[in-house]
Amino acid sequence: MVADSTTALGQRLRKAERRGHFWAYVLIAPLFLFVALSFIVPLGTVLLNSVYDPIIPDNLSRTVRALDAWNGPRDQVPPEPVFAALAQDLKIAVQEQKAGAIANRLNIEESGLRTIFMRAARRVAAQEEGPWAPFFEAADPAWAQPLIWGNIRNLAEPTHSLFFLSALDSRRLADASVAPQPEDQRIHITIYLRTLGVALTVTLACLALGFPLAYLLAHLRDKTANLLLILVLLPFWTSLLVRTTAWMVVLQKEGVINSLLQAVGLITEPLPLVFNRFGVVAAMTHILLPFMILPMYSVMRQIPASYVRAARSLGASPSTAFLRVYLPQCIPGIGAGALLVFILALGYYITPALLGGSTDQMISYFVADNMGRSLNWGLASALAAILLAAVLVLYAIYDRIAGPGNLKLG
Amino acid sequence: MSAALPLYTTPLQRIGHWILWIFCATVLIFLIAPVLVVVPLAFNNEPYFHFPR
Repeated sequence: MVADSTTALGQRLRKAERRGHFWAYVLIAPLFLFVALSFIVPLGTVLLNSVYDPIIPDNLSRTVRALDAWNGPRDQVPPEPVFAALAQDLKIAVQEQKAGAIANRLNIEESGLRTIFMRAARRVAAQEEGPWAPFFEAADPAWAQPLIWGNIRNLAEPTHSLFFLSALDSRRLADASVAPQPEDQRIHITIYLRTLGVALTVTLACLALGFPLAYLLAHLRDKTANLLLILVLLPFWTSLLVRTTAWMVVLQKEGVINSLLQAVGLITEPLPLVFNRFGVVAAMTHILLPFMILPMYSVMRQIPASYVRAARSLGASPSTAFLRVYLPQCIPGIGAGALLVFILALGYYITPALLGGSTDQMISYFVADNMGRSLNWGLASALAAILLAAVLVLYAIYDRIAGPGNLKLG
Repeated sequence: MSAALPLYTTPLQRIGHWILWIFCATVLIFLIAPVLVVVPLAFNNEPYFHFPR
């Protein structure tokens, strides 16, 4: 009897819990859908774009099949059937106005292929009958070279790693081997290192400026602290673009600082403060400083003042009390602030674009450049994917060092 | 800390206290000045970032 009622009670409890879980999931569902649609789908598209590139297999399908059937060595030019298949593909591509897209895709791999391809496409459209191999060679001698064929074969699969190779300053040659880019085109790794360097500099600068201020704010009377906190929050609430242009006003040749220093007589020539690394780091530090101060401040406020007093009364010197009692308790705030600033700084675009010179642009500038100007979306996606992977790796390292609990955002 | 320092504060601590205050004042000026600098520019009728005379 007792056992029976216990089981029944257990069942009723489980049922009630299940119902509670169900409603919890229903309540979460809109948020989950929103996150999925607004975050996971776009991010997934970007990641997909970096490996999925079906222009050539979609539009030159006969050529790709004929090349597969022939499967000759890469240093040879394919035989007549491949040329015939290409001619057929080109006729359709010209009809459907796809020839330009194919030519652009080939041109990304090897500049110059666009002209060669478009000339052949125009001539083929006007020609009825083969033999096609001599016809193509007459259109451009490059068709009798293995280079263009090697590039078509590199692109024959809809998924490939060419964009990632390009993002890491390498390329796949016509003979299918991977080689570093020519010296003057090896830019991306330098820019990744520059991005990391700027983000690290900004994080350290924010830490150096933010820690004393957070300490002072946390140990002031509430009234004074709130007043001074407004001075931190006011720039935080101002638009990023306004603050970036404000720095341009402050730092430019006839700007506030240069006019001031010249009026005082400290300098005769205006200092180059903007359109260089200094301007970028100063403005980014200014923009990101509140992200460092606020988590540190909220953590420091919760550290009881009695701990340091106890350490002092037990004989610790001020520096020992600070380093061994106070500082370890600040670590969650420092970690959260530093991580926040570092990750935000890695993706900065507007500030370096407006305040930096040509050697201060960060990786997001090149992502935007490949999106908007070069129209190489695959490379832009690969660059973004590598940046994302780098952030995740750095976060994993941070998590391993600082521990999962050691993060406190506000 | 904002109130008068306790009597047992050593001169070195006093100096440190004022250095902290001066440093923090500088950081606060660094934070707020660029935001305030753009205000007079709103009264500018030139297309460039020059201060109105």
